[in-house]
Formats: sequence, C-alpha cells, structure tokens
Amino acid sequence: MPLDLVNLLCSRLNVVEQMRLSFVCKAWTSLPTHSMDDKKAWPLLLQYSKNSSTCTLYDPIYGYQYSCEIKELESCEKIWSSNNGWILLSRSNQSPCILNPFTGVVVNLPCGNLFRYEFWNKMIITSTREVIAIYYSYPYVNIYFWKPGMTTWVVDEISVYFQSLPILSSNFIFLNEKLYCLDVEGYLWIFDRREKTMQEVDDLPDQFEYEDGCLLEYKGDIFCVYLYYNPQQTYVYRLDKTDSGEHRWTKIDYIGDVTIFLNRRATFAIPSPLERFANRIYHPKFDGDESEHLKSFLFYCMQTRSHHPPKVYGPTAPINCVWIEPDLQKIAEKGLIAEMAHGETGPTVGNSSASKPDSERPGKSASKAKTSSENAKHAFGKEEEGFRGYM
Amino acid sequence: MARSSTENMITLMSSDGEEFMVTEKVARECTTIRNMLEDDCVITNIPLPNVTSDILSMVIEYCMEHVAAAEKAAAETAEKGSSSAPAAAKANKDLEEWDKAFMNVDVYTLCDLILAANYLNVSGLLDLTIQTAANLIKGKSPEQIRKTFHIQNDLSLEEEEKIRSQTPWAFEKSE
Repeated sequence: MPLDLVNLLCSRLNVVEQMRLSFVCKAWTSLPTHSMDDKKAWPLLLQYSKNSSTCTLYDPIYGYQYSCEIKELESCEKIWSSNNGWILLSRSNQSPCILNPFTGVVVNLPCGNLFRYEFWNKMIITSTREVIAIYYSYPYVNIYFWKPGMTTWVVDEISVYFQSLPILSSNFIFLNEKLYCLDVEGYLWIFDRREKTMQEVDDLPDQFEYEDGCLLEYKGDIFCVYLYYNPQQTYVYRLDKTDSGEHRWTKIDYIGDVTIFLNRRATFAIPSPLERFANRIYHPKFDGDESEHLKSFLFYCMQTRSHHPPKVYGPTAPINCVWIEPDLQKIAEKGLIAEMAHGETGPTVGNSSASKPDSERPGKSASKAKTSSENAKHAFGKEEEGFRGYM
Repeated sequence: MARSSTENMITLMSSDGEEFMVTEKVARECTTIRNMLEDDCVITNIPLPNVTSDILSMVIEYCMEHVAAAEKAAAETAEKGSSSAPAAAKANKDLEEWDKAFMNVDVYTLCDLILAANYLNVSGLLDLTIQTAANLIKGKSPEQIRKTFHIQNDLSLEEEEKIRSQTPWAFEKSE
C-alpha cells in the first residue's frame, strides 16, 4: 500500500497504535514523523499502581487497552497531575520528578520537607512544565514554584487572615500567575502569586448542589464542570468578570467542537478528534472488567443531555489514574530514524536548561539512570541551603 | 435498477477488459471520472487501467447504493416539504448497516478497494475502507498487524531491538 494511504490510516489511530504500526516493517518506520496530527491526539487514561512499573493505558474513544512497562514508574508513589504529555509524580525516598512516559525522559525536582505532608499539599504541572505546589502552614499559605532549569523552588508566602483555611478539593489550574481551586463547599479560591493574595469567589453556580467539580482551562478561560449524577445532569460553567471586576460563573449549554476529559488530577479540553465526539465530556470511568478486552467509557453528551451508557452507577474509575496527552512532537523527534543523542529542542525548555547537564537526555536507559541519580544528588545538595532536606 | 432512458450511460472498462455500463450519475460519484466528464462531456467510454473487474464491480455497487439512498432522501424531502428527522435517521442507519455488510471482505480485497477508492477518488468509500482497516489494527501488536495484513517483517533483529529499547511502552503485548 502506498505510504500516503498508510498515513491516512494512521490518522484514525491513537498514538500507541501509530507507534506500533510504524514498527511493522521497514517502509513504515518513517511514518510517525509526518503523520501525527495534533488534532488526532486525544488523551489516554493511564492507570498505575504504587511502586510498579507495569501500567495500563486506555483509549477512551475506542475502548482499547494496552499493558505497558514504564521503568520510571517503579518507585512511583503518587501521580499528582499531568499536562502536555508529562506527568508529575512523587517517589518513595526520592525527590518528586516529572516524567514523559512516552520518551522516558525524567527531570528530578528539587525537594523539600513539604512533600512529606501529602495531605496538605497539592502539586500541579503546567503545559510549559512548570510545577506549582501549595503548602499550608498557618498563618501562611506557601506557593512553591519551579520551572525547568531551576535547582531550587521559588516560594511565595501569602498571609492568611482567615480563622480556618479552605479545604481544597478540586484539581488546580494555573493561569497568568494565579492558582485556581475549588473548596469542598464548591467555592472557587484564587491564589495570586504576584500580588501574594488569596481570594474567595463569592459566587456559586446557580444550580449548585454539593457535588464534585473539576476545573479546566481552555483558550485562556477557566471552566468548571460539575457532575450531577442524579438527575443525570452535568453542567459546565465559565468564569467571567463583571464590569465591576467581580468573578461570576456563567452556565454554558453547548461546548461545541470540544471534547472534555475529566479527572481530579488533570482535566483537559481539546478540539474534538472527530466530529462525532464533539460536545462530549468523558469520565475516567468505564464498564467492563479485567477480562474484557474492550472498555466502554462513560461520557456525557451535552447535546442529548444524557450519559452513555445510561447506567451512571455501573462504570467505575480505576483507583489510580490520570489522563495523559501524548506529546506527539517529542515522540516524533524520538523517531528511530532521527537518532537524537542529546536533549530536547522544544521551545518550552526554560532558561539555560538545554545546555545544562540535567537529566533531559533521552539516551539509553542505563546511562540515563546514572545521569538521573547524579542529578538527584545535585538537587539534594543544592536545596539543603533552602530547605531542611528530605530525609 | 429502473432508470429513465434519457439518462446518459457511461461505459467503464476494467484493467482486465471487462465493461460496466453505469448511469452518469453513478459514475459521477467517482471524482476522478467526474473531472474527466467535465473536461470532455461527450466521453462515454472510460478505461480504468488501475482497477480490476472484481474491484470495479464493488466500487460501482457502492456508488449505486449511495446514489439510490441520496435520491430516496431527496424524493422524500420533496414529497413532504421537509424530511422528517426520524425517517432520515433511519435511512442513515440503513445505509450504515449496508456499508458495514459491504465491508465484510478479506484484507486483500480491502486493500484493493482502498487503492481503487483513492484512484477513483470516491471519498465516502475511501473513508469507509480506511476506517475498516484502522479498526483491524486497533488493539493489535505489530506482530498481529503483520499477520492480519500479510506483511513480511523485514526489520533486522538489531533494528527491532533498537525500537524496543527506545519505546518499550508501545511495544508490550496488548491483552
């Protein structure tokens, strides 16, 4: 079959299948570099278990599952968040790190005492691989900030003038130096890094009942998706500003050519991969037990205002799971033809990290592991000036 | 197929010399032929050296079915003033079912159909066949894909080892 037709075929496959297709024969090995179209890359659900390198990827749209071996997940304790193909995880007896499971690149984060008290902390990774962590220590809220290339965290301290601190429950969104999060009562909190303030948005969505909310950012706007299981409704709200500068939630009835993937660790909205997936909100839940090959993911259709499959209580979510968007650019760069020996050339690398001997080196696993541990030591040493050390 | 005698008939000739008489409307489903007809409107006999008779007859079958479905929908719309949504949905569903049954072919035929649909530029058929092929790949390992499409593995052991070490996550067997 001519390559351009195989290419056409590729556009109907998810990233795992595309990679597999390119390993079928010599002629097809050159496929992925020019067949990967951003629009076709929908998130996959990564299910992991503590301290195990075996994980499962699920394709929410077609329901296929792939068992994978990701060595770097071996010491993984918890995945906090994911963005743009990178996942943020804490590890047992090691500093937290960010990992691109598709390329195997690991970047160790400087670590501090704070990461012991998991209960009080939340960490997220942004689309440009910055990591933001929040830590409560009355009477302060500390916001820790890191971006690639930095060897210590930048800490911003916000004084608290409340009697009690909000118990944050949703995922975090970081946009324009502000952190957004919902508390358990459904109110939105905004932590401003620049102004060093925290602010409660005094507006509950009009149909609010006590339910879970997930925040998401799409094209510069903040949205909130509230799941109402009974009746079978789901509402989407956009955060708007009134003329007087107050924040208000506006109900959105139609999300159009967008598909949303919900998860408390990472919620994404993407342009719909195919027309018929428009206006849908996917849950990280599916029907079908271990033995079944095909999973059917639960989604809510904004147009018909109903869940599919309709039995909302049936499908369950794996305990440890996170949506992950395959970073096609990086995968393409890693194509076996283009044998890139060093570093990344992506535009998102901060400061001088590209030239630094940090661990962003998609080399062979043995040498990489060594680099990583050296780098970890480096990070440990550095951060002890600022923190009390991890161990 | 009952056709009014005023309709233009076109003869399509397959690579093995078989001739197929089709209405111009059906032939126009193939963009490649439509372009030929528009360039030269008196043409009535079109040789298609890239398509065998087996495959050509299937392509024609597909085009006829889809033309008939479109005509039926148009007639209903004209009759009632506007097409009722449930009826249109049912017609769509029927056509989908027909497509599904039509795609019940072996992989050799499927590949030939993809090539023919691409050459004749029948967008609906190309879409259908590509999707069918994609569905055959889903959930399969490279080895299973090779088996399905009867592809020889021409990668050397070293090459394969290299790929494996580079992208182990993509290589594990599917369950």
